[in-house]
Amino acid sequence: MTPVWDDAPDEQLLASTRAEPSAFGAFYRRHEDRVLSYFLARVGDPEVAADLTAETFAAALVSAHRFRPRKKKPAAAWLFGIARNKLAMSRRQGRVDARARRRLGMAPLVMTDEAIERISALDHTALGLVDELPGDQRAAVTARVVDERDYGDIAKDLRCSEAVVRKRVSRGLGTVRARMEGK
Amino acid sequence: MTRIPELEHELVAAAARLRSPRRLLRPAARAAVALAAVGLVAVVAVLQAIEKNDGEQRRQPAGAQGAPGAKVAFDREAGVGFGLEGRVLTVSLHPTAPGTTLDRLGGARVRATCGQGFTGGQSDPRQERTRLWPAGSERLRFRFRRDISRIARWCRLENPVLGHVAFVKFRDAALSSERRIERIATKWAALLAAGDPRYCNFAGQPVCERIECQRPGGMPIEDCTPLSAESRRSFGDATIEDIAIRGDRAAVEFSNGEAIELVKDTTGFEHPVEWWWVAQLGGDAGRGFFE
Repeated sequence: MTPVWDDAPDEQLLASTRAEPSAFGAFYRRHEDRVLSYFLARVGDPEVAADLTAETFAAALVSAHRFRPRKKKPAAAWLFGIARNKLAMSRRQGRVDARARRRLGMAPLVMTDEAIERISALDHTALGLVDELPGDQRAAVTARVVDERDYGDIAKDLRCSEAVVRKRVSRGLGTVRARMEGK
Repeated sequence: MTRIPELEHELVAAAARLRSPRRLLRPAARAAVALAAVGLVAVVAVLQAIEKNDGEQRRQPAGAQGAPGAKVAFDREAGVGFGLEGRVLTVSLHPTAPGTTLDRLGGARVRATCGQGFTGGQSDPRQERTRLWPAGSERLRFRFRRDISRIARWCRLENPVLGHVAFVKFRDAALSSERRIERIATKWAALLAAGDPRYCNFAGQPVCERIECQRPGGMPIEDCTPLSAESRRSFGDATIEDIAIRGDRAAVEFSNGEAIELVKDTTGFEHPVEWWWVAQLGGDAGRGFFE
């Protein structure tokens, strides 16, 4: 059954979806964590992240048959392109878009406490990535993003200029983001 | 197992429906059945939870929940009432809630948070829950995992995407009517003096219209003299000199010589919150109250 898809490349999973629905299940399992993490890091709420994830995968399912593999745009990049659009659209509209799920006739997502906890645990993954940053970047990112302190305040603590702190935060977040997106 | 197994099942089922063009006719019916099933499961779960909660409450000695009844508070500017009782926070929309509140709630996932302090550390317990606010709904219950009703000092409602919706502190709920009126009048006067249109959030529509001499939509009111800029500004330095309450009406006298009348409103929420609206300014406002 499903294990047969475990080693299949993304492109094959997407191409097989119409003929074999379990292929999309495998595609979902493979990317669920990264997509959830992507949204969780940006909206900070497990249930909203889950909603955005559901809409992203639904949109991917709707257009899976139109996906054409390209060297510079693998399936994961295509999926995150959809994710970025869904996030931007949701921010514009003030609510998570549900068009793709409506089109597919999918039931609204009812989140259990257990599922919320499992998603919240991903937050720790992001924090874990922060922990893996070089010392100067880790201190700057933690002070700015986790502790929400002012740049000037951090600069005094770290005995450097604000510009240096900004650079370290920017580099650190870039590294975390790249790792979370598997770039 | 995935983090959201239900989503995986839904996606695979949706992919199966896409497989055959003949089946494309069925999703709506299937979705309705699925929705009904989910609804039924949710109803059963809620009933079980309520039954369990009732059982727990019955087992507790009298007064174990702290003060009897719910902690209630009202964010006037947002038009949102909060009632925290046990693990359940009931959030209600007042009929006068502004469009900004409605825009941020209807059809969106919203997060309710209640807490004791503001540091957010381990020693600062707080509970939060996110739920979908159905479009057109006037009330929504958030069931927290733990009961912090005894220690909660504040609650907040926000749209995780768009931001803040409403915020209340429960200490306000224990205020006397006089203190409550004092706060409302002070806030209203400050907004009016600053030319901030939010002063209308504290006043009945007729008062708003008479101050601006305009009906909603900008239509001018005939034979009406708008409150002068000087009069408005005079409220900026004015202090409250006297407050008189007679049943559901009250009057406030300011040091600038102006008086206002207020009417009491318990807002009609499931957990009523005492509120006072500015109902009259100038003219014979306050007449008969201070003699």
